[in-house]
Amino acid sequence: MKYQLEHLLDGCLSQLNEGADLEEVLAQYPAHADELRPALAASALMREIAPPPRRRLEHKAELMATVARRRRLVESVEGVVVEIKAGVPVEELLARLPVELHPAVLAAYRMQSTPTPMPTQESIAEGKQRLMALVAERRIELGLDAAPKRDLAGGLLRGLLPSPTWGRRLVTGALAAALMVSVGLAGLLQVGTAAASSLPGDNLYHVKRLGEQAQVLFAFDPDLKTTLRARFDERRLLELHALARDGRALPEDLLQGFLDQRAATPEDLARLSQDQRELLRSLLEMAGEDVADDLDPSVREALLPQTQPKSAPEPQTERGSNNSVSLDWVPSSQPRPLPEGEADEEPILEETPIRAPIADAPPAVDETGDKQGASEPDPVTEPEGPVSSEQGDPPPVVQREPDEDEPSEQPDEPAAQQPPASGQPAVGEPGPAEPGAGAEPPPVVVPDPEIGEPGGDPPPIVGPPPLEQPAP
Amino acid sequence: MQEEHDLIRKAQSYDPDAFGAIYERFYNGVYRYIFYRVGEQSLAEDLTMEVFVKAMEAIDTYSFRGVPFSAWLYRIASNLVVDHFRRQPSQMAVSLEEKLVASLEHPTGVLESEFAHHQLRRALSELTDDQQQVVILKFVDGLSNLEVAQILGKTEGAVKSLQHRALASLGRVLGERGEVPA
Repeated sequence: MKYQLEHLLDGCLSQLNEGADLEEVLAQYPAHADELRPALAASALMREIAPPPRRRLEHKAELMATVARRRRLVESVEGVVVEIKAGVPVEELLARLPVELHPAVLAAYRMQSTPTPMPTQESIAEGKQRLMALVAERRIELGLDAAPKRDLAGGLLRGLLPSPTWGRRLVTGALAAALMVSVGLAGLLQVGTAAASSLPGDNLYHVKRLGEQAQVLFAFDPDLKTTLRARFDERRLLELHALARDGRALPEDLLQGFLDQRAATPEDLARLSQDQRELLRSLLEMAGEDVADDLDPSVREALLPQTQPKSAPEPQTERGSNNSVSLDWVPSSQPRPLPEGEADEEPILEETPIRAPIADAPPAVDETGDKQGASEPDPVTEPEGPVSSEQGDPPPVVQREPDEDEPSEQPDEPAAQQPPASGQPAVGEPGPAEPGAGAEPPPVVVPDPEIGEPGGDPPPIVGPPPLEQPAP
Repeated sequence: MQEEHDLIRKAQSYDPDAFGAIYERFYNGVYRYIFYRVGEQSLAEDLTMEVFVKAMEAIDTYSFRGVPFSAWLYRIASNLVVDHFRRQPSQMAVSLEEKLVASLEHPTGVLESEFAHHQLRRALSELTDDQQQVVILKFVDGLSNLEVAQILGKTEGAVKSLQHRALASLGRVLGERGEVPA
């Protein structure tokens, strides 16, 4: 219905535009006349306001003429510009072109004839230098070039991949983190190495003790745990001995702790090796009566059988002060002087075979928990083990003097330095660090190739030239 | 044209030599364009440098299917000039006035060409922005209508029309000031 009405309205408007009368048009559609009348009346009113078609055509013609004139002007000015740029004299153009173009001709000529502003050479050079620097920075940012030396590692890492993708950044970050961790571990290893040679009272000694506690904590094998504890107890004794050798004060709590744990009863004492007992005895003599008085009487009697006054110096030991140490303890790798009486019966080297007690020892466990070969010394019974290698200092040494019956390669040794004939343990010099050692001849280092420590040099043995050892 | 394409491709790989060649090839034109728009040598030098810095930073976004590289540079320059006057709208007029007064007070100390630049720059300031750009690009930088159209994003016909109106207005302004015969 609506479509039909619109169709009728369109036809009526066409008739009105052709000059038909409104009432005549409506009379053709009487059924829709009332609906069509308002729209057709408005259309007639608009037609009366608008200019007649003829006038509109005239206006359009005027507009097109103006546009054409303007286009000619534009093209003329374009021609002027081309001619001025081509070098045609401005006077010629002014004479040839209409007056209305003269301002444009003169303006174009002025624009063309004005010297071109030029930048200074300095600004050009500085600008290029700055641009090149920025390009270089951008190339480094994108990984196209290696960074300067201060960022060499970063540049190398950036150069692993061709473009700055997220994957590359991830790899770069991971590598940088790994590098930092490696540096940190290296630092820790250095600290650990330094701590291993520390003694009670040193700054890094607590690091050493923490490391030992960690080893015991993470040793899940009970046997290994026991072995480690024994090794570390042994180490405490050696530390005390090293302190005494260096003339440093002995921490009594450390010695007391060892006595409480390892030498509280005669049974405990019996489990100690001969080396440990001798070392313990030396330390007790130095520590004073207070420590010795706290011992079990039987233990005290076993360790200090002579019951000599503890403060009285023994004639055979060099003990100038409380901080000095009795140096009569001999590592198990050394031929040990025998008690009086025994030495008279057999030569020392025959009485104390070097390898006999070590061959029967259980396999040792090194610092990392790795078991050593069966021929390796027991760390508990072998005092020269880890400590000596960690401390880097030679162990306490004994200048063993040969018996009178033994062939000596030092016939010119002064008689004053000969050991007493009493058969007491010989008193030796600890080495260059000991006062008065300068008078001694240079020590002869005799490493034992069979008792070498894993990862460390065999403990140096200072003594006379090796004697020809008879077969056991 | 192929040579320029190769140059741009190298520059997109951040080849320093390519950037150096681009700088030397386009620096003077960009500088002249900026100089006539800002009217001050040091400022024009700074803005010209900034154009090449921004071009280097955005070199990845340039596409050969769009406008020529020179037009791309001039668009950057135009935007920088507009931004500069947005930040300091009164600087241009003050600078021109100061230089003009200085040149009048000390005519013997000012080069004739510099004085001519100031006169022309002052007349150009009477034009619309599009008109200024058309006459500068065509007369100072010697670009074609097509290149100017590509820079301004208009048709060649529009550029010719702008040129006509710009020169007509410029001639009228110069004539009124007695700088060209009316």
